Amino acid sequence: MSPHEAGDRRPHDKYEHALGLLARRLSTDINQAVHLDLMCGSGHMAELLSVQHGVHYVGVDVDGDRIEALTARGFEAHVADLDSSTVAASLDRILDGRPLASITLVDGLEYLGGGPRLLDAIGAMLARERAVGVVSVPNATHLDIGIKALLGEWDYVDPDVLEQSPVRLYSRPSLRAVLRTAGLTSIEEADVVVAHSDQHFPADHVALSRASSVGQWLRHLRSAAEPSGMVSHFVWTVVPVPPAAMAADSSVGTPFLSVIMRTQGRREQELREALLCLAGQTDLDFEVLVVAHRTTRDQQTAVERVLEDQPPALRARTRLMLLDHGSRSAPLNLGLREARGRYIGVFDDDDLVLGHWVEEFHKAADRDPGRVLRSSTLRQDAAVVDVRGFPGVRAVGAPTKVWSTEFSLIEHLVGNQSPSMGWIYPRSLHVHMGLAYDESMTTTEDWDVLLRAAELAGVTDIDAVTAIYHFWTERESSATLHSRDEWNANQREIERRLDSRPFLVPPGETRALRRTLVRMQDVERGMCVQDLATQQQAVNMDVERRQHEQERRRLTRRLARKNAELLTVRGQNAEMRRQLAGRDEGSNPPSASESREGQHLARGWMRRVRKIIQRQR
Amino acid sequence: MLREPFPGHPVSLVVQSLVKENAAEAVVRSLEALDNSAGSGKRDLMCERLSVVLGDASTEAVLDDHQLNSLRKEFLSIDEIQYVDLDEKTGTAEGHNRLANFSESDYLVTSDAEVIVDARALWRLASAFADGRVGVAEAKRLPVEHPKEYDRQTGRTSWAGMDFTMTRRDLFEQVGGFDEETFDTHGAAVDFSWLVREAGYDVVFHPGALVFLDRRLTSEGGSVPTDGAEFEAALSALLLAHKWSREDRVERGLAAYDSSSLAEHRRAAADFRDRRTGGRLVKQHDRDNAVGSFVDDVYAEHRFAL
Repeated sequence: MSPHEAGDRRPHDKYEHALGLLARRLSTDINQAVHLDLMCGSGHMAELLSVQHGVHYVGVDVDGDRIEALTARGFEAHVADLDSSTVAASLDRILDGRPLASITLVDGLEYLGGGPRLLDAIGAMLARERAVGVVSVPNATHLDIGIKALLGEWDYVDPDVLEQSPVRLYSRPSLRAVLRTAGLTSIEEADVVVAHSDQHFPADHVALSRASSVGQWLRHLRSAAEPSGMVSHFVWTVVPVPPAAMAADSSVGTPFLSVIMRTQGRREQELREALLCLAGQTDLDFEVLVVAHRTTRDQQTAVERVLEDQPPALRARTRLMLLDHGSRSAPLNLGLREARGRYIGVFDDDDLVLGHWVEEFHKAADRDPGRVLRSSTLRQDAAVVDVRGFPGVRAVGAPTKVWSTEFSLIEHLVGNQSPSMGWIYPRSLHVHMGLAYDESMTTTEDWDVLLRAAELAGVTDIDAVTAIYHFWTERESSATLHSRDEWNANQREIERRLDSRPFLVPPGETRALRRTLVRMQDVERGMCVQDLATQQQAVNMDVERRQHEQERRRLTRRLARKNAELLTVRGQNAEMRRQLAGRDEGSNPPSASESREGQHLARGWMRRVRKIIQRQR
Repeated sequence: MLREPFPGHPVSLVVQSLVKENAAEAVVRSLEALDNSAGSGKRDLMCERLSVVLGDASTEAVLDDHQLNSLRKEFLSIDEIQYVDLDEKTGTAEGHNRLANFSESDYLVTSDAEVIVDARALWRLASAFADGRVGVAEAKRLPVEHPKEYDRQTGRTSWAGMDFTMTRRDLFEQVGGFDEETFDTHGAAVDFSWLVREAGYDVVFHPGALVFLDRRLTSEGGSVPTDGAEFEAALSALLLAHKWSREDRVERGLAAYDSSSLAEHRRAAADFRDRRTGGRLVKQHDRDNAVGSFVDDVYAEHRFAL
């Protein structure tokens, strides 16, 4: 298929979608109210709108020939420059006091340098006339375009496009923003989804392929970041709302770090300790988002009281949010959505951080912006005691190093070596890459996020101990609240996800991986040699056993034969004794030679028999 | 929800700190937390009066008059902030004794100048004195908790440090405050605690009363050592052992320091012998060794090594 064929495949989808949206919004009591079709071109929707919805169709375009053709088809149509600064007045003149039912602007906004002006006019008209609008704009960020642009490719598939180049390109967020500035917002969306756009060529383009590793990885990256990768045209129903300014640079005036702290209000003293650690930070460039999760009224009051007790400097940078649903991940996602900091850190209500916790992260962020930052965390066993009737946390062991000081992504594939308060990550991972906590996971949600964050951002190690993870020896914790099976199931889910897509390994990690694999191979080889030796030994023993068995059988057979011979000899002896006895009684005694011969014979047999018996032994 | 302990009646107290080359910002933050705590205590009718006495033994004043006036206007829950100029050579024991003369409150709190106090810590400590046997109550230090053992029900312990510890003023005066003749900084708190216990009162640790004091840990979990304290630590160990009638430990310590590779240790042993031969050692206490607790190189059983 040529690029042109691909581009011509579904030219009218956007119109069908626009008509579908209008059909759901247009009143049945239109009574020939006007429908303004702006940038109408050939008037694709003119007949359908007139016949099916009973509106009075009015086409508006800058192209006189097309307007003439539309008029020739019996429709009202006007030539107007919709890019002009007087566009609002022009549209009012065309409407001429008639009631307005709806407006469509399908594929036109991108050609107008003064597009926002037209949108302003549309917003004002819709608000005034209580009408509905449908706007359609091509998505400049379709995955095919994005991937090719990433690789330095930019292809025009339609020769006409060179003569009529778009002057503004739109993504979902930028369209949303420009609409909002004009006092419009989308209330329904029927985007045109095209898996293979007109930019999807050549067919065996490695990066565009769904089957290639890079193609899969880029698709995964895009789908996590933003859902419009397959959208060729945004088609939205818009209604008027109060205008709002487009967001300026979001980094201005924001704190360095947003600390998300989950609490259930059941550990008032531990929460007090955790917040005191934040009050004692040497670097105060942070905000705290305390998310009270599934708290009772009393528990909420307890949390509020602890927050009220904080020094003004901390209280001023702390926000309390209440959340009554969801798993352990839900409060983290709420915090993530509400966070304003450049970085995100998770510090639960029963652990401790040292005074330079924020400071060390901040210094590292200045050195290595955009990376996950990880410092060392020590584990300390702790218990709750009641001293003089009041609860207090008692350390029952020394702070101990149990987790790796240096981060290795490969090592983290096997098990989590990083308690949640020991690392922070750029909020950009959430805003631009779609990173969030999986709310279906009941444990290990932080590990899952760390793996994804570390894969995308890389990790900078900080050579400092900045946190203490409390391991509770005498009361419940997440380690005891969830069964081993549950922990294992969540780990398997993480592994399944990792295996479902290509995985980006940071520089240096392949060396570590190679080293590990070589070590394992050596171990396996060692085990192989050992196995072979064991097998050889077993074979030898088997052969020996068989040989012994054969020899035993042979000797048994021989013994049987000799026994038979012995019996024969004994019979002969007995016969001889009888004969000798007969001779004693009436015959001659055996001669000396006869007697010697008999004794010799008997001794010989006895020797043979003894030898056989010895062999058998 | 936890029910806060009540001291029995609103209390008056002074928090006194020695400022020694601290950052002004850190001292101000400490005052902010104290002001917050005072406000909390007054709202809940636990605090009658809270004053602060800062003794500055720095080479140059950490806070000037202008800053102090601003702080006095800003921290309105603190009834009084006094700023006392101390000689640079003033030791901790002497400094706290001198600062104690600037107030008359029921309770006296020795505090590190940079401590961040939890709003409830003072009032929880004060409530411990509802038990008439308690003479000294120490707050728990975060994030690195001291490993000394304490009773899990009563909080009774061998000794209390000076980072944030509350003492009954009458008892402070009864035992003569810190032994500044013998101790500079090291050993002073242990000695004071044992004097209190010798007088028949308990020294208690209150894990529910919290303060934050910025301390660092090594990658293996050990405490980061402070420089240049070997001489004073060694000398105070010998002086404590002498004062609390442990001649066996004195002799063992002298032998160890004599053979130490550190010159500071050998100097400490020589200094002790000079004091002994010159008759400058203090009168001995606790002849039957009922109070002093010498466990290896420390002065209490420890739950873990740090």
